[in-house]
Amino acid sequence: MKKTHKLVPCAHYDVERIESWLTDMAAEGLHLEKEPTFMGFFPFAKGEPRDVRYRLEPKQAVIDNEKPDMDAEALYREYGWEYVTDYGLFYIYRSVTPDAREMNTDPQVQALAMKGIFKQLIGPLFICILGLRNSISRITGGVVRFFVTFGITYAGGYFLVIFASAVLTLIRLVHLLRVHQKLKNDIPLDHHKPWRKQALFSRLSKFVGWGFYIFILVVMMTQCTQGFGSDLQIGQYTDDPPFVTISDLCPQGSYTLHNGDVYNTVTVDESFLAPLYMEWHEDADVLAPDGSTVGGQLDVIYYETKNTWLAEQLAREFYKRAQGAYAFGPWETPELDIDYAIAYTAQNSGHPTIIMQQGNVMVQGYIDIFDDSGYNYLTEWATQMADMLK
Amino acid sequence: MPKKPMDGLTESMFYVLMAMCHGPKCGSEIADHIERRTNGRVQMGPATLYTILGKFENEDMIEEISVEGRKRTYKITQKGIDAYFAELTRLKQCITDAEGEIQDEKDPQACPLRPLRCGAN
Repeated sequence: MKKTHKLVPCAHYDVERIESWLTDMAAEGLHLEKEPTFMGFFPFAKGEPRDVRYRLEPKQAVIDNEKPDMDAEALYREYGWEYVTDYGLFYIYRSVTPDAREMNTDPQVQALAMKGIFKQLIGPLFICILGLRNSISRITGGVVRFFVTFGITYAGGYFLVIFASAVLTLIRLVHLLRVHQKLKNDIPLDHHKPWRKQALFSRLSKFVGWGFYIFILVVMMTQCTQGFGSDLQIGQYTDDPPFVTISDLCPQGSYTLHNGDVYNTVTVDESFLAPLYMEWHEDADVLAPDGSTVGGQLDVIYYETKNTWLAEQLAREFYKRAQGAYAFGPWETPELDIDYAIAYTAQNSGHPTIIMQQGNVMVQGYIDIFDDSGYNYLTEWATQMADMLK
Repeated sequence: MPKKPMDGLTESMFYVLMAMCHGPKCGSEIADHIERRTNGRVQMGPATLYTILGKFENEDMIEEISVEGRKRTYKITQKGIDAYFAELTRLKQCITDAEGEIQDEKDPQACPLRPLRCGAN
């Protein structure tokens, strides 16, 4: 027997049109095979045209729902309905017996049966929304930072996939709610709903949608495999960093890196929105000519962005994120005469962090640098940094 | 105007409980009983029957008493009996109220219920 596959001509949750389409296919001699569907492609066997009714029944279980309940299947078979396959949220049954009674004879009871599938939709929608929210506010510290750090393509693709998934899930939910309300109002489903008029548009939309997802995933995976920036040891970094380092605080001193390669790293990257992005982690001491020591740990995040607005937004996002940190508290901010500067302490460390922005440059410095008397070098670091920014 | 969703029992549910008041039954026996009782007016679809039995079992209005292969037999519980008789009482009251409407009608010529009254012209 010849077989063929056809792409469903409507949304995968459009119960009425799918039933109508399958019934019309049977009238043309195409009969649904008892095989799984794949990405909306239904397997058909070519045969004689027959009067066959198809009906979709909602799945009830959230997991392990590939096959219907065996008791239900047995009861339906007794009344002339055989289980064929499943598609999305539904099981597909058919009857070749013209006088077999309808599967559902009470729309309001049918509405009850639909409730089970809503649980299966709320989960994905919640995950999409949660994923969107969490990715913005918790993992990346802000939308602008996400776009500037990871690039428009990766960040844009990430949000487009999540946003599109959430919107499509919402559309599906609204449609099914409308069907549910129709049944609750004791209006039976239209098993012969016209499907031909929008078939072309529906199928084209599917191909466009698949192409979009594949393109975005390929772009994101390509960027992931290429990595985000180059990681170096501080000793390997030969350029002059565009910010103040520990050695700059005591230029005439003798510089010693601590913790070897474990802590002392520098990341250099670029994106369309940020021609230069650096992360600097330094653990070092400087022995001054008079025998005193200045040193500790310095963590710097540095952005040179495309324009001033981006740098401003970054600075505010960094500070907003810091305000949500554990044990956040103010720290006296020195007078620096630049566009923006704010210091704070957090995480019970007792060490200050300062965020500075001038023009299209934003820099954050975590200043765990002290001299022998326990004096913290935030003011010195920030003053030198402000001079570099101007 | 669409019918307002019922808060209680639908007609199908009512007839299922009615059928089960006559003793334990499996699904197909319930459907056959209803069809006989209503002279074919109410034909229970298998999906409708399955959903109703599931709902009633979850709400303890019926309970499963035996299983033979795929054939499950249920009996009605006291909660199911109470629900059935509550609905029966409500339906009887509806009929009483409707009959009262016909009897109280003062202008038989103008009343749209006229054809329903016995002996009405």
